[in-house]
Amino acid sequence: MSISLKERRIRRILEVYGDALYRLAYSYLFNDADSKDVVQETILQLLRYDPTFADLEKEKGWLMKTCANASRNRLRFNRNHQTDELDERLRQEEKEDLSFVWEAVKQLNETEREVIHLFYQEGYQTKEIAEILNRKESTIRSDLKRARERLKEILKEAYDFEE
Amino acid sequence: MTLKNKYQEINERIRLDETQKDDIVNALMAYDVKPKRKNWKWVSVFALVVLVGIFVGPQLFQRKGSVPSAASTVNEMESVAEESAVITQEDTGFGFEAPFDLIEQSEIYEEDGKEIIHLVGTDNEVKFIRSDTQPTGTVLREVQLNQASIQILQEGQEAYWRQSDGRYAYVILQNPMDEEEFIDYIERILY
Repeated sequence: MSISLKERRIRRILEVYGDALYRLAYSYLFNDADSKDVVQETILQLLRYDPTFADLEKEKGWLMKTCANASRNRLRFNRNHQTDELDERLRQEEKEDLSFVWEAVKQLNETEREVIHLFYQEGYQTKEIAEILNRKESTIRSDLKRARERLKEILKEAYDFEE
Repeated sequence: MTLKNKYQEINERIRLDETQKDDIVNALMAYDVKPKRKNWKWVSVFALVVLVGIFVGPQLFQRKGSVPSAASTVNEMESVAEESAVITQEDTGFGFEAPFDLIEQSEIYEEDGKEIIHLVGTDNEVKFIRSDTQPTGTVLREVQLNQASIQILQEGQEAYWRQSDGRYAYVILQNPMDEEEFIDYIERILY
C-alpha cells in the first residue's frame, strides 16, 4: 500500500527529530502523554505554516523553538508535575543509578531546565539556544551557569561530578 | 563520568517508540491541514489602498482653489480668502513669506493703488503693502539692511523701506515680535 506525501513527511520528521522533540518536551513536562501531544502539536504547526528552510539545521531550530513554546503552553495549561513515568521506565530497565540525575534536573526551574537540556542533550551553543528560546545570549549564559551550579549543589552530597 | 554524560545517558532512554510514532502519524493524518499561505490577493489589495492613500490623501486635504500667483491676483484684484483652509508657508505662492508657519487665511487685493497681501496665522497676522507713495507715520529709528534703509514705525511690529523698483514696502504685524527677530524677518523678505 502506498503512503501519501503527507504521511511520508510526518514520518520523516518523526524519524529525524521525533526523539529530540520528545526529550525537549519531556524536560518541561515529565509526562509521557503530554510530551507526545506536544510533539504532535509541533508537527501540526509545521504542516499548517509550511515554512521553507535553508537547511536541516534551520528546520531543526524551528521545530525546537515551536516545541519549546508548545511545551511552555502545555505546562501553563496543566501544572501537573506528578507523573514519574521515567522513573518507572528506569526501574524497568533496572538502572535506578541514574534516576537521581533526573530527580536533580526536576528540581531546577523551567528556565534552567530548558537551557540545560538544549546545552547538554542537543549540544547547542548559547547563541543558538538564545535564538530558539528567543532570549538574549547573555541571559542564556547566566541561566546556564546558574543551572549548572544548582545541579552540582543538588548532587554534590551523594556524588562528586566533574564538569 | 561528567554530569553532561549522565544527562545524555538518561535522556537516551527517553524516546518515542514505534507505537507512539504511529499514534502521532494517525492523529496528524486525521487533521485536514491546509497550509496557511499568505493570501497575496489581499496583500495586493492592501498595498493598492495604501498607494492610493499616499497619492490621493494629501490632495483631499489641500485647499480647493488653486493659489494664484502674485501678479495675476494683484492685477485682477482677486480675493482668495479661504476661511477654513489651513495652508503652510510653502503653499502661499505670493512671493512673500509669513513670519509664522501655518496660514489659516490669505488674501491679496488692491486698495487705493496699494497692493496688499494679508496673511492670517493661528497666533499672528501680517499685512504686506506695496505702494508708490511713502507710508505716513512717525519713524522711531532707522536700520540699514543690505543697502536699504528700514524705517521702524513700531518696534517689532511696523516698518517700511524703499524697494529697488522705487516702490515702498510696508510690513505690519498684528502682534509684535522680538525686535531682532523682526529685523531678521525683514531681511529675509527684503528685495
